[in-house]
Amino acid sequence: MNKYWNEFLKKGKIKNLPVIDIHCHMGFFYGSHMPYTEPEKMAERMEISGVKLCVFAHHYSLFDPEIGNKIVIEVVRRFPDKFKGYFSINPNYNLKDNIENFEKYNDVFVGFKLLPDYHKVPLSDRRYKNIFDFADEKGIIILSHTWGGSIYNGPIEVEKILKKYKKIKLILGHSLHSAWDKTIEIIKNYENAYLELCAVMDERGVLEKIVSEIGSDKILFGTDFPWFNHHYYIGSLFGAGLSENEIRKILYLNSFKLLFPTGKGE
Amino acid sequence: MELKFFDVNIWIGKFMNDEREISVSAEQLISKMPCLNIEKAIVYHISQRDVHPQIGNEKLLKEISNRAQLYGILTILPPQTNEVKIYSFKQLKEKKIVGFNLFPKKHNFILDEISLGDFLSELEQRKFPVFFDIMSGLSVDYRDIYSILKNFPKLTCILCNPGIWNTDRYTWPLLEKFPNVYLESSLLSLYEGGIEETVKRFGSERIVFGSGFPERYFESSILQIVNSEIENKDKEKIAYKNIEKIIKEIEYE
Ligand SMILES: [Zn+2]
Repeated sequence: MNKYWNEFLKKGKIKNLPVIDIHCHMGFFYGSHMPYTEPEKMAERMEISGVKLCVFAHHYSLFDPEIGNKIVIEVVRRFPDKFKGYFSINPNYNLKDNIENFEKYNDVFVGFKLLPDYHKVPLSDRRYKNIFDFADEKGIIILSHTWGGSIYNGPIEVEKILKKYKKIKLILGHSLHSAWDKTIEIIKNYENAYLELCAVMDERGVLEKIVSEIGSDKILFGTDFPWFNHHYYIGSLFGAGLSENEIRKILYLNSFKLLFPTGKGE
Repeated sequence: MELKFFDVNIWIGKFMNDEREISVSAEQLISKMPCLNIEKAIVYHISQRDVHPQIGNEKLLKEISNRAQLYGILTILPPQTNEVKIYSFKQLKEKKIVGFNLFPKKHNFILDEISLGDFLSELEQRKFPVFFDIMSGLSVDYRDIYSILKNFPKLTCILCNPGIWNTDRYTWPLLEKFPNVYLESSLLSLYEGGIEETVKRFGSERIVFGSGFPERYFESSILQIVNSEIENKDKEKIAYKNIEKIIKEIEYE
């Protein structure tokens, strides 16, 4: 069996393999009990599985327009080595100073997070336009929630964006869950699209299929932490029979290149 | 510490809608188990759910009869229609059957005192486990579980696949009120802090190891349990001791 597997079993982490979780959250969530939602506790838990960096959108920044992104700034400034932030966009409150604030706190935010299914606004809606225009001009990361059957962030809406914007780095959160053939087609057709694995890895057979079709270079490790557990999802990569090289890319290298294209920035 | 496992949440057989090509035969299953230190497993045959309980039950009995590592769960229907062969508890013991499961939503019946009251009452007395696959949507929902346990409070229930989002709000009240309710571990391992906080609140005795294979991966559940922030003695209970105890306490005679 894979050497990494034995080391993860024995020590919980691998010495020279830091993990980057590209899809995280923080704070209470209405829909379920999450015991470990505080940044202090999350940072502690990250140590156990060798997760070096979590890129997160705070639940309150997604769901509570009154709190918004302020809370992310405070947390990242307190834990600059552990957390980076997504600037959450709720297009129902698409404030004029969003872009200004994103740029102002460039030590905090590494990209934008969109949640169209929850905010009930399709990706191609004009209310997102200023964000996409800005991100495209600068080549900025956008993590969007995506799901196969959705009219807000399903394959049709995702393709509308990818056809128009060639320089954004669009991370498809949950990899267009359930529309797996479409997922593969989109990655083959659009160079600036990336897959994120949360909710993919709890369905055995899907990751195997995706990797066999597109390889592992465009796949990023993400878990919705603190919803889901790092070891559980790391175990899935081994269950899918991926090689050490593929696992290294997915857990670390691919996200590192995306976040720090110059090779520095740790 | 090298942990060994007794997996309570596996099905075998050829799946009707196998888009993901996940179906697994008993032979393939037992060839996979040793390298992960899974010594034993409790399985059912997917035909019990998707074809007919009688067809599936007989397939299952055949598959496990000459494989010492495998124990079985039979599927039941309301006895009034007389569709499923009834075995005596003595026979069930000989055939390595350690539980029943039910799929009322798929098989179109109502699980309550009217349909299965006498039977559930006997299971309760004999401490014979009933396995519920909640997330499938084909068995029962939490409202059903709450109502069954109100009437049969000592029933040994093993809640498998309790839900894809953290289900503490549903399951913790059950753990608090009913001593013979157990949670299968695989999705607790998926929830961040799911294993640790449940153990802290209710003790490790209330969790039994499962993987959800072949729909999910063995490696996911194993890696989380091995690295969970609980004591080694608790890991052992979850990994195999609790289910061994539950089986030992069944009153077959
Ligand atoms: Zn998310």
